[in-house]
Amino acid sequence: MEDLVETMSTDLPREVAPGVTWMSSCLPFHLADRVIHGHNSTYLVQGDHSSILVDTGNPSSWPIISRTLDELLQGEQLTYVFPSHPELPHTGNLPRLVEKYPEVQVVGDIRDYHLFYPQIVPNLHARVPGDSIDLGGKEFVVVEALIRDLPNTQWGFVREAGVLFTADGFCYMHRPELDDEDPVHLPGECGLTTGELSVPIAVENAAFFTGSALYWARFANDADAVYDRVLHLIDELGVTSVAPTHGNFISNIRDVEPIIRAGHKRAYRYETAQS
Amino acid sequence: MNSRTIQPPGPSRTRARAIAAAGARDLIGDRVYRLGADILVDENVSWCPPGIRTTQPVNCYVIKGFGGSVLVDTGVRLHETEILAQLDAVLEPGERLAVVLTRTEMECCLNLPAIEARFDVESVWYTGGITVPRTTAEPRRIMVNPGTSQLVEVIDGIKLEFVSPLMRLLPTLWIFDPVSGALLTSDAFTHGSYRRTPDGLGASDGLCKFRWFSEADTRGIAADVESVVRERQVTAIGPGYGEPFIGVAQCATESAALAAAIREVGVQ
Repeated sequence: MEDLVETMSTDLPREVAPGVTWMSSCLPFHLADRVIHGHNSTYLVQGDHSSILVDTGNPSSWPIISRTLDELLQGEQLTYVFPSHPELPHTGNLPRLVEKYPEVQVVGDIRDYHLFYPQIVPNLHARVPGDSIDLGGKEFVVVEALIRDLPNTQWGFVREAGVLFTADGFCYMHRPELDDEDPVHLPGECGLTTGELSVPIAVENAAFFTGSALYWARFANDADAVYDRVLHLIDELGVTSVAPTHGNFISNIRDVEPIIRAGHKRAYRYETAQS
Repeated sequence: MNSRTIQPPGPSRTRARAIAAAGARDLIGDRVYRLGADILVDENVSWCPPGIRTTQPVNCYVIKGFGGSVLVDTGVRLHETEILAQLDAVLEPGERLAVVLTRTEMECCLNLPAIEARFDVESVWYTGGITVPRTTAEPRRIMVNPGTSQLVEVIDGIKLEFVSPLMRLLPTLWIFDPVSGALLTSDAFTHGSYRRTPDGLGASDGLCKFRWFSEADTRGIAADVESVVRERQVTAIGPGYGEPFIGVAQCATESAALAAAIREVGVQ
């Protein structure tokens, strides 16, 4: 029997930009011939008077997320939650967050949430791209998701920190074993930023995630068009770092973008055993 | 021997009344029941076609066997009370139950904890890399290459074909029951509640969720939709949301219409 257990890396949480704390749990995927790991990250942005949690993590990781929030908020209430889109790794802890913080405002594209979580309807507040949320000395801006699976996906940006939160965009797998033909990440690298990794992200690993989670990339030969738009957004907003849900925090976006783009291209007509 | 002649024992008249009273409906005789309730589809629902405001059923299904039953998807949390009552009516007391999730998305899996708490769920079958919110049931993750299928004995006496369709956003399974001919299609074939013509011309209304089709070469996807239905002599199509389609001819018509809509929206 396969046992799926998420564990918080001992290197996390860590502050990756001013006021932005990276929290993550790592999920092992058991393939036919190997085990790979995938990040399932959440990010806490703290301003002078308010805070926002970007994505909620999986229900199975609630104990460590709750404990980490206690440590980071030090008795303060969580003000906002921004679920990037309605999938379990991104929204699965919404009911527990509302139970823990009854006044928390759930902000974003909230279509469908009344069907999935009727108990949190009073906490739902719709936001559209361009809307901003004042955290005190920091502003969280809702951004159109340029890479997504579900239609009700949004990205977010904190100008003062230069961090763009991209949900399933800029995601990739990593696995801790060394492999002669496919050298990727060493054990203990789960909490490192991409600028700190001793080995660059492998294009194949980016392609693996893209082909599996962004299934449309197998049929749409549009990687250049998509990533040209993303680069334009990066320039327009002044993005310095990218915070994906499934992958190391990207501190060197100009170096990483070509790798993710190449992975996206390779995903076209990609075949894997993943259904 | 024609496997479609094998049927589990039907419900007693009393139980049949209880099933109807709970709001469960038979999709195919005493073999496949449709559970769930209606929602309002409007601008607050992400899969709503432009200009539509109507009611639509959100469905999950029970496939009955001799030694237990299989629940395909668990419905939306909004309908938790109704679905538990319908399961109470459809299942015999103490009946063994396995759950199959067509996707690990919210409209498929969020009632799993409540169902596990009330019924003896022995296994949960699903695909993809996302964990499911189960507690004690055995997790059975299955990988099926897109465009292929696997025959799986989900619970003693119930063999279902797990079809991995090319039409999807996320890892998806369509479930085919060879005994009844029912094909349960998750987030595909969802156009049954929208404006329709007799030849199925409303099929494009079920594609709102699949916006990526407009940037993709969809010919293979369309062909896959047609072949899945054609090769199996499907007698009923049961979507995760939307009215089902009943009868071999109707299923063929709808699959042809959906395939045509997929071809039309794509890049050729």
